Amino acid sequence: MTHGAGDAPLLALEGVTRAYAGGRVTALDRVSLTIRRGEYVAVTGPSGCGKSTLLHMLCGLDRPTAGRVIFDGVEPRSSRAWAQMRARRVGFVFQAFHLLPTLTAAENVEIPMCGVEPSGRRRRERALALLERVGLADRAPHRPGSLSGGECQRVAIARSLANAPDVILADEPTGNLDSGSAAAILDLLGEIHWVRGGTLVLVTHDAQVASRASRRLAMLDGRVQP
Amino acid sequence: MTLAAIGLRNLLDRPARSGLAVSGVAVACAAWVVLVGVSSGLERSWVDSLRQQGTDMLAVQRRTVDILTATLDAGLASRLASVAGVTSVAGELVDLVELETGDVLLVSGWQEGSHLWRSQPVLRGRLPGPDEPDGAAIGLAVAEALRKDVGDAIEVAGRAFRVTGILGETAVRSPRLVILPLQALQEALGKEGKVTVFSLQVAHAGDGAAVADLRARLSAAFPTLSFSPADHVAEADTVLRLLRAFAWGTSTVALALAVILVVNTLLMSVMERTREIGVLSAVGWSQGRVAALLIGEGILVTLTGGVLGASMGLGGLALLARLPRTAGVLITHVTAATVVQVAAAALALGALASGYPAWRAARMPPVDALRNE
Repeated sequence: MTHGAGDAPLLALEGVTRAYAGGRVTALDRVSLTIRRGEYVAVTGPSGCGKSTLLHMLCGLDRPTAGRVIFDGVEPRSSRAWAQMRARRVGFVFQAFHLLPTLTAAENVEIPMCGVEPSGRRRRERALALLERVGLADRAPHRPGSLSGGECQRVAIARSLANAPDVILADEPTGNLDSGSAAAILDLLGEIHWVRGGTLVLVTHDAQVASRASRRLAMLDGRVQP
Repeated sequence: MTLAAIGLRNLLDRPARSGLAVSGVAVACAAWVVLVGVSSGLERSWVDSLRQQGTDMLAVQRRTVDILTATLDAGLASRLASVAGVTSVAGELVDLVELETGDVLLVSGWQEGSHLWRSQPVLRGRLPGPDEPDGAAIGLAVAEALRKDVGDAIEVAGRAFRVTGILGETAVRSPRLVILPLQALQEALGKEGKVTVFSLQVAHAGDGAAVADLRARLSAAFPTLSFSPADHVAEADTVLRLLRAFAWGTSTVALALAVILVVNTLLMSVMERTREIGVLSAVGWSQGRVAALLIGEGILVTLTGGVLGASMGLGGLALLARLPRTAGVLITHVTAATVVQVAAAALALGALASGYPAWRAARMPPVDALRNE
C-alpha cells in the first residue's frame, strides 16, 4: 500500500440519508463526501450530530435510508457483502473497546481472522506480533478484565489491524481514557497510520484530537459542514 | 482458537446457568435410558424365556389386552397339535400370585410331560416328576428372596407345595419364576381346564416363509386365537406395547422440556451478549458464523448432557438391578442402539434448541447490538 493520499476515493457517500422512527428523526441528511486512500480524516461535531452514524455507514454496520455508499468503487448491497468487506478491508476501534470478556487479549486479536486466515497457528502468530506492535506482548494471555483502559484500547487497535485493512474507523477512541492514555493511543494510531500508509477515519468531539488529522470534517444536525 | 473453543469459554464463564442446562438434558437422557431399558428388558426377557423353553410360536386369546388375564380352554391343545407343521403343543397357565410373605411373583403352571420342562436348567435338586403334583421348581432369585431351598414348603394361592429344585440363571425369567404342574396350579387358582397361552413347536422354525404359512393356516382354523412367532411375541401383548409407548412418550416429554431449557439458556445468553454479537459483526463475522457459534454452544450443552445422562441412566439401571424392592422384578436391557439413539437425540436436540437463539443472534442488526450499552 502506498503512503499518502491517492486520487481514487476509497470511500464515497452519495446523498446518504439515515432516518429513524419512521422519518421523524434524521441522523444523516443527504451527506455526500469522498475519502481517498491514505487520508487521516477527523470527523468532528457535538454529540448527536450524526458522527457515529456516518462511521457506521462507511463500513455497512448501518445502511442508508436513501443514497449510496461506495467502497473502493463497489457498492456492497447485502449484509453478507458488507461483512466480507469489514472482515478483510476494515478495522474498527470503539470508544468502549468492546473486547470479548471471556477471551484473552491474544484471542481477541484473533477474532477478526476467524474465517479469513484458516491456519490457527498463523492466526496466533499474527495476533502475538500485533500485540507486540502495540506494546502489549507481555499481556497476551490476560483477559480484558485484568487490563487497564489504555491497554484494552491497545488490544482493540491490534484487533483492528488483524487482517491488514485498507481503512481503520475509530469511534471516539480516547473517549473512555484519561489524558495520558488518550495521548498515547492517539500517538499509536498516528504512528500506525504513517507507517502503514493506510486510511484512518476518526470520530471525535475533541478539537485537540481532531487537530492531529490531515483533514477535518465538521458535522452539525446530520450534515457535513462546508 | 476455534469456534468450539470460543463457545466452550462462553459456557464455562456462566457455570451455574450452563450447569443447569446440562443437568436438564442429562436428566432427560437418563430417563430415556432407564425407561427404554426397563421396557425393552421386559420384552427381551419374555422372548428369551420363550426361546429357552422351546417355544417357536405362541397362541394367545385374540384381542386380549393383557395376555396374563386371558383364559383359554386347555382342550384346544390337541386340536392345535393336529395341524400339519405343528410338532408339539403345551398349555401354560400364568398368573401373578401373592405369597405368604407378601411378595408378588410370576407363577407358571406347565402341562405335565410337555416340551416346556425339557430345557429348564436346574441348579439344585430336580424338576417335579409326574407323580409329584405338589412339587415346585423355583428360580434362584425367588429362593434367595424367600430363603427357600430344596425340600422346603412354599404356599401358593393357599395351597402348599414342596420345592423339588432350584432353577439356574441361564434364562432371564427363570430366576424370578415359580413353576408348578399345570393341574395343581389350575386347582389352586380355581381355573380347572383353563390355560393362559399355548406354546407351540413347529417344523422348519427357521424358515420364515414356512412359519408365515403355518401362522396363516392356524389363524384361519382358530379365529379366537392369535398366533405370534416367539421373537415378535411382545407385539401381541397390549400391556407391553403400552409400556413401550409410555417409555417413549415420557422420554419424549422429558426431552421436549430439555429443549425448552436449552432454548431459554441460549436465548438469555444471546440477550446478555448482544453487544458481543454486535462486535463480532463489526469485525466481519458473517451471520452464518455467528449462528454457528450459538449452535455449537447448544450442541456442546446437549452432548455433554447426553453423555452424562446416558451414564446416569446406565448407573440407575445397575442400581435398580440391585435394590431389594426391584431386584427380582425389574429386568433391564440396554443395547448399543439405545445409547446411539440417545447420542443422536442429544445432537439433534442441541441443533434444534439453538436454532431460534442462533437465528435471533444472526439477524441482530450490528449497529443496534453495538448501541446496547
